[in-house]
Amino acid sequence: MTYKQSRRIFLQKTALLTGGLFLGSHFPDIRTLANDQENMANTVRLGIIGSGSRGQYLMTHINLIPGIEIVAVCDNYQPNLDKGVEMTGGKAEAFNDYRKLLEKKNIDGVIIATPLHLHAVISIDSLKAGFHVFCEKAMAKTPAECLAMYNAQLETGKILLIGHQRMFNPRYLKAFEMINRGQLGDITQIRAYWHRNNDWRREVPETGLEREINWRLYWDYSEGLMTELGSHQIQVANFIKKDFPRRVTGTGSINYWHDGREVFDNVNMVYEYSDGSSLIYDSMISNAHYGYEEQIMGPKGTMELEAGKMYSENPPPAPGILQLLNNIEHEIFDPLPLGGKSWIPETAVKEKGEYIYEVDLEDDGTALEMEGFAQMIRENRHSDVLLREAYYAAIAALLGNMAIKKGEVVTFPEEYIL
Amino acid sequence: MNTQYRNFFSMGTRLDAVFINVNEKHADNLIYRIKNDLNKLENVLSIYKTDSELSMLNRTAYKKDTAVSPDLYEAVRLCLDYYKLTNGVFDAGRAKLTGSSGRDGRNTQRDNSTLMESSGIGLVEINEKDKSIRYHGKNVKIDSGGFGKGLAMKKVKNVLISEGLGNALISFGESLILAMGKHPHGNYWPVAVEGIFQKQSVARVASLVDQSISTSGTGFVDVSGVFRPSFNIFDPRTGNTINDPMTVSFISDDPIEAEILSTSLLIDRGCLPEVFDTSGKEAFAVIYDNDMNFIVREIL
Repeated sequence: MTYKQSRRIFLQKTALLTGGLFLGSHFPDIRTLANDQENMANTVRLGIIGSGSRGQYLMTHINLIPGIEIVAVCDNYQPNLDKGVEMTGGKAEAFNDYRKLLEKKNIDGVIIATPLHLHAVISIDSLKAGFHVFCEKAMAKTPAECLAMYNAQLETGKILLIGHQRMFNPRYLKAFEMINRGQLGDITQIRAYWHRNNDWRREVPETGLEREINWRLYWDYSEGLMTELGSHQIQVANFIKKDFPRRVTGTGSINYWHDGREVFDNVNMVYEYSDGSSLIYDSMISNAHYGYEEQIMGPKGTMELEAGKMYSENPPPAPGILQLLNNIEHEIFDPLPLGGKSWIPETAVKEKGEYIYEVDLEDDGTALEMEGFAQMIRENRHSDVLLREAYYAAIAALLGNMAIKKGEVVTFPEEYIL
Repeated sequence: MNTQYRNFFSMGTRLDAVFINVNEKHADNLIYRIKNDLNKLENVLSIYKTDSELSMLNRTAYKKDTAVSPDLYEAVRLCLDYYKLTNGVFDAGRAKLTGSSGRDGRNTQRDNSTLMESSGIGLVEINEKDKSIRYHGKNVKIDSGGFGKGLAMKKVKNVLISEGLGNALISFGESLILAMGKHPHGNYWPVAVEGIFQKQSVARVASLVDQSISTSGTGFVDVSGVFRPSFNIFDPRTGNTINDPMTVSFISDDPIEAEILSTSLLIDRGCLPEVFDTSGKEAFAVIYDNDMNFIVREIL
């Protein structure tokens, strides 16, 4: 399914969903999002800061969306810069210093896809220079930086959106709405994991660039699996719990990739929410069998959000029983049918689960998130809810690493509660 | 009128419960008690759980006295009683036997004849004094499939009585139904047994008050309208499977009796002795002619 088809279905299916009280006020206006002609007339001009692999991934999606133009590309690594400009058909202006890009006046917003340690400084500089900002997750490398970014948005009033694309994924939105309606009951436990089986390395073409290219493997640049992968799933868990974790404990180590890296190649965490429920999280890069998943559990059922399935603790009513209930409600005294054509004697019932969302969309939410960011710029509408989601997810991920390093239970610090 | 509906998986199938004139909290309490009782029973009787008490008994009781819980002892005693009552037609001790044609063709006739000699509830000895059980055949395996849901429904009935619930309808996979009291808009619970080839064609309506109805069948009709034998109904006296399309329904105030005898009469409609007390009971078979039109035959 192409992005256009995907998008059309998203717009049809989620117009009511996001227009409701649950999420509506936090999202771009879906009706406007649908209006290509109007959007073309109000083209949003963006600059890309960081055109490495993630930046290129975002640009691939942006190039599919009418009404967004990439007018500037910045990277301090020449091959990435060249590739980024090439992806705009050579039209974008090239920069190797983001501060020079921020001097431009014909840009509405910037997209920041740099290593983690640069998120805060570039985001804050961009906001203060008057730009709307989309910054990749995780929000920042320390809780203090996260808070500084949050405050910079408050001071400037500009849009600050962090790249948690699941918040724009129709399957997730549908699941959030079902959970919010109580279809699983009170959420008592969430289990999430992200397993890969590779060294997480990128090819280094020149000596001396190991740390810049493989920045994810070193503490000066990165917080490893917790921020690169875990923050996505912690954000989902927080949104479902309408809370943030109050305490965390866990373990982590390098138990397989002994290749000079510094960050853990496996992490295993337990987060506790204020109602005593928990998020049990683990991530590893030495086995990919189980892939990645978020399992949401309550007394009425379980949802697997990546698989897009819901498993009820209670099976669907038997057809005959449904008819009986309907008859009682309408004061009808008809027989309960039994043993008819559809009846299979003595057959065990297996719960195979139901699909949360009936349409299989190729987009994981990234393109819709890019389109949403552009629309937020057109409407000049910041979402504090989405920013708080990113803020608490990032700090929870960072506290996870602190708990591992200290070997202690770490409590969410008072000074970082918004 | 406050009607409450609850359901859950139990005993390998689906339990649906419709409670009349109860509030939500009372319904939750009822279902909690029922679930609790059924979970305990499943841990005793399930043959799908390798650590159930019955599974362990099946592994250990050959030539060895094995002390068991009161629930399991009563279940095995019940099997022996119905084995005698039905002249060997109800035989819960032949779990290894798959019938003459074999459920999946794995058993040869020779295999089955060996199994016939060394299995069966007739080779089970129970000792009332120390509540122990011993198997005298090396292939004796008790299968709770023919009586487990009846025992479970009896427990459900006891919960409803102890909670003072007058009117309710409980269904176990729609093959065993307990009708307590009456329908909110009538004087009984009407339950229709339909013909399997004709959609919504009622073969017989049972009028139930404080009774259970169990319906056993030899197979089902697939989406193309073809009858598919399930190959799990066989005469334990011969090993022959019953593959013709047919259902038998048995109505009784005792759900255990209803479940066991609906299957027994499916195998042999003449298996009950003349002295069998038929008061308050009904049994009928729905059979089919060559054109697959149903014919209802009263049995009791």
